[in-house]
Amino acid sequence: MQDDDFKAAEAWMRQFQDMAFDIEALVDPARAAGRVGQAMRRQLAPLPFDDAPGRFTDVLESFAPADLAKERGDG
Amino acid sequence: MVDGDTAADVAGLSLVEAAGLIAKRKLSSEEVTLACLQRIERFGGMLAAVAGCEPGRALDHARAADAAIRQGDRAPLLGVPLAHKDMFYRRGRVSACGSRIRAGFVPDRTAAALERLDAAGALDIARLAMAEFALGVTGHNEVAGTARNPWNQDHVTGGSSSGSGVAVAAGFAYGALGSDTGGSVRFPAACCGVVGMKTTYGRVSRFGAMPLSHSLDTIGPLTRTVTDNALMLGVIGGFDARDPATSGLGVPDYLATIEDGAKGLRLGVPENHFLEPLTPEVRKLIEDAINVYRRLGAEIVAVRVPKSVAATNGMTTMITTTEGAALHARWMRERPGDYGRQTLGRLVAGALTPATTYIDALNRRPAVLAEFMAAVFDATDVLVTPVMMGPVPTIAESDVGANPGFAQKIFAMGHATRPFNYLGLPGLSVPMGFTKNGLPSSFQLVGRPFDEATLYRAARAYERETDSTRGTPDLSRLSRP
Repeated sequence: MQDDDFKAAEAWMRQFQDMAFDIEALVDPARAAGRVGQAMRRQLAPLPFDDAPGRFTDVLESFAPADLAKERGDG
Repeated sequence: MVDGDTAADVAGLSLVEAAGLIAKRKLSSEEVTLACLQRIERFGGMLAAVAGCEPGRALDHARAADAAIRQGDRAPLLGVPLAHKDMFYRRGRVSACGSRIRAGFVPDRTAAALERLDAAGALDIARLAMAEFALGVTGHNEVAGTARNPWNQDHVTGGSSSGSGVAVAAGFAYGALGSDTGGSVRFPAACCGVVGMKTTYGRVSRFGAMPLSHSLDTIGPLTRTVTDNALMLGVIGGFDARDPATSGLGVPDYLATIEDGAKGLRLGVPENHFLEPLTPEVRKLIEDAINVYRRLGAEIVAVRVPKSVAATNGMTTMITTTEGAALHARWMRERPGDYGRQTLGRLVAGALTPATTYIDALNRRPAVLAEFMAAVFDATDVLVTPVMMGPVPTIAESDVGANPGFAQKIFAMGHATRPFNYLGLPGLSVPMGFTKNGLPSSFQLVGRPFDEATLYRAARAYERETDSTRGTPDLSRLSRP
């Protein structure tokens, strides 16, 4: 990221998050935030456009040992 | 009054041993509690592990427990002193969350996990130190003070449940609750040489516990032995309508299968990713642990984890900081100077994350989990990984603060822990010996969702064979920092 990018990040934080930080405090966090998104898009295949994601606890339960009986709640 | 040697003997018991002796009235809860309080008084300051303690109140509760026992009460943890990370709210008692911002905060509710421990008869004798707002893997805390490792005060405790690891290892309490969003139970357990369970997402209610990331936060116990840990999870686990993420799946009797041994268990050993950045001495300890399992009759199965795992550490970090930034936004605007620099830096990273990237990471969880389950758990029952890649570092060498590159260093530490927060799977940190610097080292057992029972069974088999949880730090060598 270039100096201009950090100036843009500073302005973006001020305008959209209503937060004021000097550029020095934004350099490392901005790099970290950018790196994760780039790596995720590079390493993982795109998701199907039409499928809605499920409730994650339900997904976990679908892989649980079969002998764990559902005892309470909807979840 | 309990003399020094007796206090050490009593405080050195396991939770199960202490509970048994109290129930049989061979020791009173008051004696046991006094022994713990004396150790807190003598060593607590040297280890900077205790955020608050009211000895008079703790002893009152102990005497009440003794009276209940005399009247026939048989609650499973009756009269046993525990202490917890200072983010489990108790109505009317301060909970500062390791921060300046919440110093003096008095909650209006009691955490569900504390309610369940209360109902089981446990005592809650102290609030324990933690990383600021649970954001920190080493245990450093710039605003409230950095806890020190009881095995060597120059070394870190691991975080963010730093005081929980210290308190259990040092005999301040027989068990402690921690929270784990990226490794915060497993790191302090590994650094302090105790057993720590990162539970399946949805196994334990987070109601009344300080939130960091609603999508990732889990709660779990730190204890001296595997059986102690299973006993505590059996008490705190289960559905709670006040936490919409909790599962309605029943909590099994973990103690019923814990002594079943490792024979026939399929132990997965990753060929890629998790073991790649290990230092030689930690690699040797892990290989020795795998050989113990081989000797015990476990089937050792080499597995290749999917490439998508490489993205999970980063996605966990990003989800944590983004949800954290949303929770902290008001204080970030109004009181930025009251945060430690690293905490603020991590929250700022979350505030800079595009909403599309955050949502994308969350939406991918089911697919990444399904791929991982097929690759690993079709052929295995348990996966073994390290917790940390190398020996426990010193406080000085790991004090990355908010210096250039700090985010990358924090990222590297979570290589083997954060993936399982993203995947929602349970992970148990199990002591496996010591590195050359004299500090403990642990491996991690990872299981299917809600299959903590198999992790306890596997860990107990190793513990029984090696006695790896029996060592305790020599606190007489401590000095005032």
